[in-house]
Amino acid sequence: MSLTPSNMMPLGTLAPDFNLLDVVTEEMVSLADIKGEKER
Amino acid sequence: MFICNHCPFVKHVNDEIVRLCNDYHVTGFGFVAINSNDVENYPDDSPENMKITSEENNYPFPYLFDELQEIAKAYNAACTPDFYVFDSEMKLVYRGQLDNARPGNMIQVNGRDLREALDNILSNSPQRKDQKPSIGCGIKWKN
Repeated sequence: MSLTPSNMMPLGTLAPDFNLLDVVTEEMVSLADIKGEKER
Repeated sequence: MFICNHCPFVKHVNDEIVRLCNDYHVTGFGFVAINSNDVENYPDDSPENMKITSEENNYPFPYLFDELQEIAKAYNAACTPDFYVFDSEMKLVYRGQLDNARPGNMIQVNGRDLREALDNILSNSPQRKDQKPSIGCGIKWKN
């Protein structure tokens, strides 16, 4: 088994958007859907 | 995070990933797992098996299928597991390993590095500069 390390994307990079199928709910989930809630 | 079903490096940390996400979800973080592997050549990572993996491990986060592998490329993901932390402005503040544990090295899986990154966000503290890469199975790219 060959081992592969992270590429270490540059810090400060903006999160690329996505919209992909959730295999459990069978609904599409986007970056905005999973973004955390900042209450502070 | 980028994960998959079959990789022993992911299996080694599944319990801690679940614990960590449950611990930090209540503090306001959102989590998502993405599988980008080529499922034609690696059917263990099929969407059907992803669903089984999610349910067996009680994943508290969505488990998404990146069939076209475009998202793994956008994130420059290399391996499973591969972790990314973005702040409230969606800027990358941490990437790399969960902790120092690897299958066979006898170090306890405790999520230390990822937990520290999340704690630093919560306390508005600077992130460590010497972030360590994750190591695992290479993402199975389509030819």
